[in-house]
Amino acid sequence: METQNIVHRGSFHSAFPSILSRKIHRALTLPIHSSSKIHSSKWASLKIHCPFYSDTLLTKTNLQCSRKSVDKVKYKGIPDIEEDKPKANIRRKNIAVFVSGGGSNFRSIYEATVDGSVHGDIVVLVTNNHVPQSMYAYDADCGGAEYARDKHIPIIVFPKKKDAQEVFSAEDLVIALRSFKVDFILLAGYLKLIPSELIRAYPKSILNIHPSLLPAFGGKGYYGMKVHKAVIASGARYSGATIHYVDEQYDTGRILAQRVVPVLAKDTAEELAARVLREEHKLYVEVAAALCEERITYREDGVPLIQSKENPNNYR
Amino acid sequence: MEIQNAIPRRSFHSAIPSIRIPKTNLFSKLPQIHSPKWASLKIHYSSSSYSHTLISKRNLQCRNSVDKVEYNKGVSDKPKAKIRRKNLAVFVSGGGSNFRSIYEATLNGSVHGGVVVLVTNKHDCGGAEYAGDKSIPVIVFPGKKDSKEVFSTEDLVTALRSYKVDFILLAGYLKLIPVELVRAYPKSILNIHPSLLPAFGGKGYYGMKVHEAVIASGARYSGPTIHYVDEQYDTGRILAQRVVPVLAKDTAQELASRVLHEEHKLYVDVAAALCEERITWREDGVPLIQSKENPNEYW
Repeated sequence: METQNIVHRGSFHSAFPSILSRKIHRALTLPIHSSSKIHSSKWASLKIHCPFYSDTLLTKTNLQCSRKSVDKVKYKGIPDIEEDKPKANIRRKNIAVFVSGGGSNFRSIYEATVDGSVHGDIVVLVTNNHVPQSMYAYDADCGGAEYARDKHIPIIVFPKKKDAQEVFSAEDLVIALRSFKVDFILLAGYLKLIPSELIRAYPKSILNIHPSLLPAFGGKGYYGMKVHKAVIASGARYSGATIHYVDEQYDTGRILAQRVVPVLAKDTAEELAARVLREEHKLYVEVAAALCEERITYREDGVPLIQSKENPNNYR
Repeated sequence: MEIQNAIPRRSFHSAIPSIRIPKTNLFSKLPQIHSPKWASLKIHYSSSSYSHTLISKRNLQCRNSVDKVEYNKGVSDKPKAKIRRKNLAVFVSGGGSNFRSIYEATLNGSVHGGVVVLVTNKHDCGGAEYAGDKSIPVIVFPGKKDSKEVFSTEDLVTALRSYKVDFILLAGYLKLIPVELVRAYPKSILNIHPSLLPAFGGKGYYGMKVHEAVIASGARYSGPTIHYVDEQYDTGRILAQRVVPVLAKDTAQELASRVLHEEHKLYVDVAAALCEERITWREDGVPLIQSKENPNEYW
């Protein structure tokens, strides 16, 4: 093991085993029931492996894992299409979901992981909503967090309030996510801008869903009901949902998938929002399924395409 | 007649007789039918209380019976026969496929109006050729800078009024519409744009460039938008849209032809609604089209 080499690279490394593990441990809500044993023992074994992470090594492809088989993971930055691998031979992916609010997309994807439509598991929920007095995640106050607790999914609160006792930085978040072996990050109504450290750590692995046909009605300030109000005020006759890769600005990464809905003459913003939300749920589940089954390819001009499951020669 | 009153108002009125001779290069082809009308209109110009301050249809005062027109705005229970046929001006810069499509619809009755004049900035474009073929007068605007006479925006407005144009349909006209024209024809100028505005619109987004941008962005849907024209590119109120899918293997040309197919249908439907006075305005200012089959539905 190369513990000694790595410890010197970043100042926080020397404190690694003690501070970081404590921090991350505290930042998580680990479920209380017996099923939690699975998570905590995983955590215990991971503590030893954390020292391999450092800023200079924060890319999946450079990850050097110990020989222990439990950590042997295939990190593919851009999943290649392995056409003749049946689903059983494709590794189940680990998904992190980021929410700020109700989390209906999160619930929809979770149910799909349970019923088998999505060949992966949600291993952690990240949310920015927290209760005034405490940084403890079990006080996190959003619909998504409640549901996650119900389903025994660990929760990380990020970013924390400024007056929190310990600083939980973006780097810490990256380390925490790596400890969960997260393959993909799905933003599902997360209102904070994703820090660039996270984007660099997970290139081409962070997706966001936006309730309009991007590039229309996107960018700073366009979120939630504001989007639908703007669509109606513009007189646009069509709207929809867009899933796109995340880069370092709001709503500007490459578009991966879209669905269209009509905007009717007598629509209120709420009615349009409900119509779009129904499509969002279906779309995100389909995209998550494609992600986990490694059916995403890139066209020559850089546009990501989804290979159809039924007909591998068709792309969407 | 109020000739003496009218002349001092605008400097160009005194020059009217000279500019308006049909042999000028402004009117490349002026069929016989139109010239007598033109001659008689000269007199009526000075007799009407025309001035820039009165330029709105409602203020037009004409005493001669040949000029007596019924302005039936917003009377919805009149059968189509009682609704006045509208006069359309079409502006093109290129091939004019939308122009042709609308023209044919005026002939077969789908559109209750007639294309009375074509305006183009390219005298030799496909649209101008087709207009000449069908004996539709052509105005070249804006003219070339080195031409002998300056055909100003005011002249264009005057010319359009002389044709009693009700609506102006831009169909691939690449020049920005002058402010005076927008003010002269408020809520009467429409444009068609080959993308789902507000996406892929604005300065620089025209023709194939739009479709290339759509494909490069990875957008999965596109389609034509018809909107009212205000004083900037592609920012006026949206009146109608159609959607088409963008396929993974599309080239810009393939997408363009798929969108064009929908453009033709959409512009004809909108022109029909315009001429039959089926456009209403929602409280928030969004224009709606009343369905022909079901007057209670809007699209």
